[in-house]
Amino acid sequence: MPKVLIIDDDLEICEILVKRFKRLDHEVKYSLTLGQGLDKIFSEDFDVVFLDVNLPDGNGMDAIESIREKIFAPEIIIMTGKGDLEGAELAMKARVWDYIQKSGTHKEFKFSLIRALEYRQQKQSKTSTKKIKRGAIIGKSRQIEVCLRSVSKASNNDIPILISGETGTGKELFAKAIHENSLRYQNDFIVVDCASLPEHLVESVLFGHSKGAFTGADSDKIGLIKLADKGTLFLDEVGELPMAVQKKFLRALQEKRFRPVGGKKEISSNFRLISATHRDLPEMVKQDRFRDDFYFRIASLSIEIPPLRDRKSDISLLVTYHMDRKEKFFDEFPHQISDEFLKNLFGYDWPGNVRELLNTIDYACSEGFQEPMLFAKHLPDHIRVFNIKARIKKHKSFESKPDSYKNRAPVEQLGLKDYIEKMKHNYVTDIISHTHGDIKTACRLSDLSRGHLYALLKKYDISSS
Amino acid sequence: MKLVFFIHKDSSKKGEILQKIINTNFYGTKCQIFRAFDTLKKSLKREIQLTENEIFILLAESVSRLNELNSFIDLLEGKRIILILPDSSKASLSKASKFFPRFFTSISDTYDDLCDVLNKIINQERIKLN
Repeated sequence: MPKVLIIDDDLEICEILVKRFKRLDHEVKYSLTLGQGLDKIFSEDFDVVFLDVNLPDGNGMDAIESIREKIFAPEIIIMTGKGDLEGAELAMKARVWDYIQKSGTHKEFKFSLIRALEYRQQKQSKTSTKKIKRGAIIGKSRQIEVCLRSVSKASNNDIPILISGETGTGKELFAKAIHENSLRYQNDFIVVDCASLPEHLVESVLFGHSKGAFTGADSDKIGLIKLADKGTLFLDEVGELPMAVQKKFLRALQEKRFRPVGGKKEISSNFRLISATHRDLPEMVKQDRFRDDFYFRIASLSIEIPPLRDRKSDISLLVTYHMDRKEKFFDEFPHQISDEFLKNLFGYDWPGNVRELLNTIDYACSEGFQEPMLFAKHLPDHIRVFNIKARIKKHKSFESKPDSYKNRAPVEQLGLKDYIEKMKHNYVTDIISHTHGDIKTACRLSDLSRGHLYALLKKYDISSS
Repeated sequence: MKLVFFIHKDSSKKGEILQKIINTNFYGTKCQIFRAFDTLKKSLKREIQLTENEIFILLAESVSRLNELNSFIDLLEGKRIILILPDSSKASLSKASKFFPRFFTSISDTYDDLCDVLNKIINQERIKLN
């Protein structure tokens, strides 16, 4: 829902415009002074601001420059009581969206607003098509492409993002990618590990504290929220944030203002929030273990990172990337990867996801030390055991399956073209075996011409005798 | 669970205090202490224990030490890091944020908070293993 702010000292005008714009399904707020209006602009995200020129505490025109400095600054429409040509020229030079007289018709206000919102939408979709910086996000699978599209969407606006996924899927990498691709990329990306912080420390770490706030507070200390000013605050494992802190944080998120522990004055911080969790937050909300208002606020856009077992086609790329990195940064002995090594990686379930895969590669390189090629024997025992057990199990179930299931190609390791080739090979072998090498019968059953069948026998090196 | 400390051999009194705290508070937890950059770098490359989670606690008792640590920040990518900073200045905090630390404190603080954070991480790891 688009958000509109009206800054005008005339209460009647404010109320009329609020009523009109609410009918257009917009969220509308107003301020009667410039100071209050600017506070709202810098603490919330508005799409359009209707700004009066003569306000009791200042001139609206003088505030244009500072409003434009805001990340995702709103479009500005100047309202004036009298048609002032010079003022209109100045406003246009300051690149405001429009300049209208308060005496204008309802239609004039409405169309100016609609066009400003259309322009804003167009501006956002234009930036959403740009190529995004992926950082260390590796993979070409459909699942990863979907996540990257969400990263692109998330980096083109300033709303709170919730990233969920199992441990080790790389949630922090996605959070960093959103930050790196956003307009805040030149400022800090601050990590808060909610799971590591003891309950008595969370509040002072987040909000900071004043000297003497509690025993041991010998000096003022800046909190991480303030440190993330103009940048991004990443709340890792947000599900572990104590309920009482959630309440205080919610206010800081909405108002972009908060009071440090023991502090007398409120301070502001224009931060963007990205949270991550491996927990089922909606379930925690149902169980009253997580505040519902906080959940809805932090999850304006949700991104679900897939587990590695659901995107095994990315394993080869991840291995190559990690080994190249090791060679580059650690001057490590370069290793080649054998097929059976890779086959074992594909066969495993990876409960610890990408993190477990990378640790496994480190382990294998360490085991292989100066051997040029890595084999399955260099893998940790539990992965080899898993694969052997899976093979035995597969063999057993294969034995009990009808003939048509035998010799099926492993779909997770082959592209469609190779898979079809493999099945064709199996089919020709089967038909020759079934007909005991009788070419005429084989042609009849397979509906192949004699020439085509001979060509296939030659191609796959199969004897008909 | 393994705590990997970096306390440079020239880190003087603050380093000695931290060393004492490790000995008294983390008895029974696997700890390793590095006193030079070269040995720390080597350890980042070797000694891979698959089942072991490591936390790197890096003492930067001076701005120059923080800068030295910063020079091989790439090697620390993906590691869980706790930083002890020379001061709480905006410049130091901004440099610290590039390490994406799980927690940071400064040398002027007591190490009480640091111990609380480490104990919580160690306990969580124990719960996970059980």
